[in-house]
Amino acid sequence: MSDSPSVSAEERKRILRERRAAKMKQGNATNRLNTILTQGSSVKDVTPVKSVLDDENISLSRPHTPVATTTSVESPIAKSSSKPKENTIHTIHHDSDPDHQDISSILGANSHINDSKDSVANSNEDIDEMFKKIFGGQAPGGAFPNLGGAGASGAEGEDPFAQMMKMLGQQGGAGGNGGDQPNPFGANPEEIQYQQQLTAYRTYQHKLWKCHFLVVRYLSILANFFYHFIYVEDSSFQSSSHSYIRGLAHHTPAQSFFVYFSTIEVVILATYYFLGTKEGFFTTTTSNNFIIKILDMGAMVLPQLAQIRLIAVRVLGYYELLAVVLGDLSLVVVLFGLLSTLGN
Amino acid sequence: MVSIDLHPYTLVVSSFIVLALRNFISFIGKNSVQEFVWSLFVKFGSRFGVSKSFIAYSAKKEELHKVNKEKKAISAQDQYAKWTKLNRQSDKLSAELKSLEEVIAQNKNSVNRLVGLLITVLTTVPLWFFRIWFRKSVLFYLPTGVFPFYVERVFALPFFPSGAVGLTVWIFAVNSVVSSVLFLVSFLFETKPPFPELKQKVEEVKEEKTSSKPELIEAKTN
Repeated sequence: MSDSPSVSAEERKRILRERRAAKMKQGNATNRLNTILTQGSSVKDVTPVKSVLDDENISLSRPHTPVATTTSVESPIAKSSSKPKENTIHTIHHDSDPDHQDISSILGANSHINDSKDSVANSNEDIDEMFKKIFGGQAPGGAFPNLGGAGASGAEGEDPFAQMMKMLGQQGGAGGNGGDQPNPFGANPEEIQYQQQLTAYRTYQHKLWKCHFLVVRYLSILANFFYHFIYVEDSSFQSSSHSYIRGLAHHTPAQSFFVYFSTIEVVILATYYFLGTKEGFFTTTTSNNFIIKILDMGAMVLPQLAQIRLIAVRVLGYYELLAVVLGDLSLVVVLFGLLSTLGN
Repeated sequence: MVSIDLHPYTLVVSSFIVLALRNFISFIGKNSVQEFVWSLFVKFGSRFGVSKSFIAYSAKKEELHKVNKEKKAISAQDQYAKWTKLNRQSDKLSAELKSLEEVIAQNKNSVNRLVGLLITVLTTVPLWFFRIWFRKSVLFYLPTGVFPFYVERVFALPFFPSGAVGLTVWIFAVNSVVSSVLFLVSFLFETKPPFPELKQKVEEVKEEKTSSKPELIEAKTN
């Protein structure tokens, strides 16, 4: 277009519009359209189509394509429409927007939407069955079944997707008496904040109990050790870097030390287990464990891992009790080791 | 092969100190130690003439502040020559400050590297030395009859006679005790989070929703 620079943009638009209108008036729109559609190397098989410009009234009956049926438009420049607007499409003048939309056409179109809804509902049921098969064997786990129901609650009667979200939510370490944890993905910011604060509070409570138990354990072991160190005569309760100490015969063997030690350990472990079960400490600890998180993620793909997860949670719970015993024995070893330096 | 003979008493004490130091450094963090040493270097280094760049940096910064203050006080249009002179001075001081900052950053990197090397030499190297040279040395013997046989066998791992304690069990025991003590100490400084309360607004909205549901059902049936 070799327009002079003095031609304004509006003028240019008007000229283009007139040329386009003139071309349309010439007709032959179908051939032009088919020429466009068949061009290009990516085009494979294209059935010939008919341009809407060649037809003044086109009626479409497509019950499963609601989009087509809802676009009925009343326009003063619309070419023709003889009937009320169910299942009709008016030709739309490209340069004007419709002023009003006929609501009867929309209501009529909705009947076709309702027909399509049945087929969508059927497919939803199939998807639900599929989800149930995938996630049906799973339950959001807890350490012990009697630990406040983290493992036993909430699994029945919920759809699999909600179960999956619940498992992900439990991975945040909320712990505790499990089944009432809301879904963090669907929750509002207040609930998310509440969950975070609750997790922080429970973690602090768990640490507080651990701290108390640690103080009680260490004090009792120190008392037991120093009682025997002070009141046991000869070298029955002495350690040394020399091997002769093993061959010495003792008049007063210090076997009572281990008796008292075992008794204290049994009482502490029983109390720890009882409180841990009641307050949900084991669930809080295991939910943050790396192995449990991996098993949770793997269980989404392989439901069989859910059984292994339950066993792993139980093992980790017992390991925490074993760690208490090992920690106390470590203190005894350190005390004897430092004691052995006194004789040198 | 060179043989190094250390008394078991020396091994016990030195390994205990090394392990305690290592646990303490990992508890407070290596970066904290580096920052602390750097602050000491900044405070005392210039006094002993170790690094003069801090003095020069602070002096130049003060000068720049004065120049900028003077420049803002005059109008660029009315006293153009003076303003231009001050502007050139300000640019020169900014360039000098930038180069001094680079020097200081290099000094800081050197100090951090040195501190890291020192930490490694004091905590990691001795342990590896002990583990290689004294892996078969008995640190101490437990008194007979205090522990049952099976407990003494556990303490004697991996290959010591019953009743003896070696480096492996000793390192494990010391690590366990020191980490427990540090946990106790750290917990004293931890603040208790408040018990969370879910705001009532959410509950009211839920109640409204549940109460409105029967009305909708009635409307539909009508």
